[in-house]
Amino acid sequence: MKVAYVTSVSSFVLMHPNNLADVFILSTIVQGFLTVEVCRRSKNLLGAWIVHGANRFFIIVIIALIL
Amino acid sequence: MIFDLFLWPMLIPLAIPLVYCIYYQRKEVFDVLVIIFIMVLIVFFYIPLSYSFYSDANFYVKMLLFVLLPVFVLFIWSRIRKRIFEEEDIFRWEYFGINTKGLEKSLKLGIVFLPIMLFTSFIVIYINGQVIPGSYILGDVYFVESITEEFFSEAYFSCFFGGLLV
Repeated sequence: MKVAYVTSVSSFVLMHPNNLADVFILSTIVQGFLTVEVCRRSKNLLGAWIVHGANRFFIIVIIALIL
Repeated sequence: MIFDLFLWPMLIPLAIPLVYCIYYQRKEVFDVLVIIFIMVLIVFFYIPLSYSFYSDANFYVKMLLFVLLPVFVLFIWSRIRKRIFEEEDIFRWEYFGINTKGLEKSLKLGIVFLPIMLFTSFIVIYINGQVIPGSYILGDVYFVESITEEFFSEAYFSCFFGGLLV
């Protein structure tokens, strides 16, 4: 289980190489842990999808309106 | 056709399950190698396909490379594996986290974790000072498309590595 956990989080982070030299990497790491944690606890992808998808919508639509 | 292997860093973590399986679960080495094969195909074809079928959020390319291709290859491999090792079929949708079991719990956890995620994103964007100008339509497309990355990072590594979803 630990192997899958570490592999999942690190692969999620490293599949965004454009963020590696950027402050956005913090957001990607947090997202990696949260989505994997949802899957670990529930054995289901839906919650991880909600977290990831809603975060994208928030970044693209809501923050653009706020800032 | 443009070739750019910029996704190559995502191959690095695959060394973890590979080394682990070589030492502790010899039989699963083949499973890891199949996943490595899939990942190499993704790294190789992601940029050429992205430029060939460009669409906002790369929806089709990601759906093809992160979902359909791996599911197809793993399905074929599970059939071969079943014959070689004469064991039960390892290809089950619940192994990918696609089932009704745990649906409610997953949804609740997603809602609970969401404020942490949004707060982090807000802080990061605020520090960076770079707002991504978008639209509701693009936001919706990105929302739907994010399932492809979930499939990629959580489902496949869990499927065969005795991991998160099983």
